Amino acid sequence: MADAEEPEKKRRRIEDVTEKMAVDGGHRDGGCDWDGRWNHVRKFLERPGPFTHPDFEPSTESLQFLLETCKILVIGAGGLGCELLKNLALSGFRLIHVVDMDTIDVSNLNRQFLFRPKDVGRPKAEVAADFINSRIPGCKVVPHYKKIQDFDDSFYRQFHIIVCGLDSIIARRWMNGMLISLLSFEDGVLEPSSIIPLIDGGTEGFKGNARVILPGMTACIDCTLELYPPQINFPMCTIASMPRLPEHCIEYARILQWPKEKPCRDTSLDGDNPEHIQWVFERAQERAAEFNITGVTYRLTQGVVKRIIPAVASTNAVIAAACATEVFKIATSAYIPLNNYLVFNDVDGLYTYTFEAERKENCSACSQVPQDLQFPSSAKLQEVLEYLTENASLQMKSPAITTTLEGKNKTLYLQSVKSIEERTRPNLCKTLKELGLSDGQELAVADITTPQTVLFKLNFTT
Amino acid sequence: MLTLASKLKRDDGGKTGRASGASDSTHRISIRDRLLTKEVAELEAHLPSTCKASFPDEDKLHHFQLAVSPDEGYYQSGRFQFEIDVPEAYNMVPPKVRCLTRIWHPNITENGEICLSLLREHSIDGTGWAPTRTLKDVIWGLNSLFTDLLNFDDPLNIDAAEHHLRDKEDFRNKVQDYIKRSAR
Repeated sequence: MADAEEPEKKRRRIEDVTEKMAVDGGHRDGGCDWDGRWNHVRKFLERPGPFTHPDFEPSTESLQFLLETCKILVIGAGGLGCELLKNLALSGFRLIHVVDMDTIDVSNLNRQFLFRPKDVGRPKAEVAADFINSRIPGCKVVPHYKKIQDFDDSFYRQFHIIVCGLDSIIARRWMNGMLISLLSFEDGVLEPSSIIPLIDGGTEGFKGNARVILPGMTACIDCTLELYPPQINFPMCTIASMPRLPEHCIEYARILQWPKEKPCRDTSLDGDNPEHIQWVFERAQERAAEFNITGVTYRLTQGVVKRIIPAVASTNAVIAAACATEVFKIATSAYIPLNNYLVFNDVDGLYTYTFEAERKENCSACSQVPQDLQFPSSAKLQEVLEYLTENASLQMKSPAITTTLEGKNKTLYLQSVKSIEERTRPNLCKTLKELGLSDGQELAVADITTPQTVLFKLNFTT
Repeated sequence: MLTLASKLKRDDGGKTGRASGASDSTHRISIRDRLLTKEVAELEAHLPSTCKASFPDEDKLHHFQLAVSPDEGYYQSGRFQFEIDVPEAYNMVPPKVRCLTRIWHPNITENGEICLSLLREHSIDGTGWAPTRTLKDVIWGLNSLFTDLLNFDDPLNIDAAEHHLRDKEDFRNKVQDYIKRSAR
């Protein structure tokens, strides 16, 4: 058994070891790539191989593109986000932006490895960016402590590829909708240069999925909305009178008994306070006994009260790796990308499966190519209405027309609800310009002849 | 599978795409608004005879009131006002509905909270909200709370349910009493 080292000797030994670490290269200034730094990436891009894309030509340009030009947006700097940033930065991507609206919580530290205890309370995006920028010379991660909805299309347009590590379906749909709105069509044909690929990753416990979405070309988030499992939410009537699950008993204690019995002098239930959880746990056990329900445990109580979905670091690692690989493949065109949906499950053993998710014919988000409507800005709304009813290929009966102005709906004319018809009738005599419509304005039209709302795009001829 | 990198590389840096004046996010029609345009346009054609819809603001199609006047059962002769709010995330989430009229009902509290499985984001038996449902279904559900879906066995207002169990006539009287006071 060795003697404890003298502190000085130990300090010098550690210094030696850390100084010689090749990965740092000894350079702290950006842009200085030491010899062999990107050899691992060059192996994929500068020589042919059995798995490369049929159109692939080895060259040094791909690496240059990654290092100097390719702009990636990472959404989320949490479980998946940290892994993604690490993977992308170590693969040569340097122009990375990261968006996250959250701050660091102590429960994140077991897997969101870009954060340390001293960072608790700070914005995730900023701490993640700082860590990567100082750890990987040359990498320039730009953080945004914001919600994705705080940015408009001019922000998103600048990126070549967008990768998501989000924790909500609503956010995914929003991102999906945003990228679809950036698509441009020439004579009804999609312009490929307006497509921004979206790589989406999601995890929950031991399960995860990664998918490649080419908006306008492949299945989008809304096309496969039914694949998402329903979110658990317990009905009040069941909780109040007919509990069947241990979770119902816990919710009964949390929602009904706590406020009534106020065991802690008017404080609200704190999921991080063990005494509170213990109280809820005991009440829940009593109720469970009353209804012969098994399964109420302290751990379950914590989970239900804090709405915890347990996160597993390895699942995040796997899914982020799959996503980062796809970003690399698409950015370099060196390999055939995932086509297009990968599922992963290591609850029991290891399982993974890839399939091609298909576009939904009447997808509310991506199946609509807005049809062009040509009118002078001085045309009256009445003329548009007449066009919709008289045009041979439309032949609508009594179309309802709405639009969005300044983020809010504006009902231009709606015939089939009497009270609304009366109030919007004056709009028929107003010109499109007077109504506040501009060139490129999107109009939503619904009619008895259309199964769904049809989108039109106004093109002003004058 | 298309390779986009070549196209991506070509427009590195100054990507502008076809920038049309109105294509920024303030002009993009949300999924909710697109769905509402269709569902509201179809609303009156499918209303049960006992229901009437009213829109305080013609531009806010996501916020309206529904008046239900049951023509049979305990709640006959009453007129009950519901307030319906369609959230931004529709139709992934159900509309939010409140009862504005004070009522003695096993599935509606006196504060206006409604227990209708159709309005639940997830219910164990699959009768909850799904993106295949529409406002038409919600209105039908609300209307049925006074007939088919009047449920004393799985109550939200336990007192009202127990009252009915104890004494049906007295229950009826209390219902009518509430109607006289607030549901005319």
